[in-house]
Amino acid sequence: MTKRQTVIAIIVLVLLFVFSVGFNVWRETNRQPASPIVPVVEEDLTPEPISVQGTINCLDPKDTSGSQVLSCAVGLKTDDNKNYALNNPNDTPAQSGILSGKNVMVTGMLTRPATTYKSDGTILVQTIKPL
Amino acid sequence: MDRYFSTRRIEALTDGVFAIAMTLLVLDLSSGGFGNASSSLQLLKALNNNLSSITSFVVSFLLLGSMWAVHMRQFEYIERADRHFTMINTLRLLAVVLIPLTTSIAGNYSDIVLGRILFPLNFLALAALSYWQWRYAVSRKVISQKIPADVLESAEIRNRAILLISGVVLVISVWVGPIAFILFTTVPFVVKFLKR
Repeated sequence: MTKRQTVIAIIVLVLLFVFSVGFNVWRETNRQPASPIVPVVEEDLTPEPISVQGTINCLDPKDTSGSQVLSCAVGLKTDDNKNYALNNPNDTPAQSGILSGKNVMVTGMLTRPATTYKSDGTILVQTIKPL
Repeated sequence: MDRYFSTRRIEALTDGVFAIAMTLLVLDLSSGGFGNASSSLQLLKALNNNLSSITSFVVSFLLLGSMWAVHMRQFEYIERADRHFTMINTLRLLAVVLIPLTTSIAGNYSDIVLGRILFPLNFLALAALSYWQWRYAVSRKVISQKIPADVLESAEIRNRAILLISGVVLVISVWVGPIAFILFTTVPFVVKFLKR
């Protein structure tokens, strides 16, 4: 590999890198925020936040008849087999799937169960901490 | 007037830093991240969910091992060190100790651009510092003993191949994440190609 070829290779790689990062950052910042799973009803909120430990997973739909949509309603399965829907207005990592399958501690307000998914309540998430 | 030292202490420190960095890598893979699996199928699913972290760990461990082997080979020919050489080695070790952190980020934040590029950037810096240290040692004849021409040529080609592949992996990682690390396995073939 000559010195000229090395310089050309470096320039090409730098240009490709700058373009790739620029394009992907633009795409990332213009990504549509995920919509909440269920509408938040103010009167359903408990006065104090709760903290629940469990594993991030996808909730099962209540109605399994007919065609199923391949989307994931983010939920939390606890050690005592309770399922909570996670409502993340601020698009926390759980919503984007980063913590999927991981053991976490979720803190937030407990509201009524999700209407279309099997759950024991919906947590309006304030924080999610991986354990 | 330049002062020269034995490389004995540098080699001991470097071996220790590589050993600790390679061991720390596994901490990100504790079984706590697999949830409460109660059947083989659930455990398999949890393992699959952590595939990105597992891939990053294996690749990082093997890459650190190969970079340690490069260091070991280089020091077969380096007899003494000066102040600048020691400083380059310190920077090289800084890149080594950052590998567990960037590996963890690559495993947990692979859907974010910055999360995808930090590990390949870290490795590129490590490869560049390794190359820089070797070039410095070779240019200062007092530091290197008489090195056979074929060893010099072979080291030059290998260093360039590692840098080239690291650059390619960096660009591709922006698009596909940790799966691009598989390209590191092509280094021996690129070395063979460049030797033609």
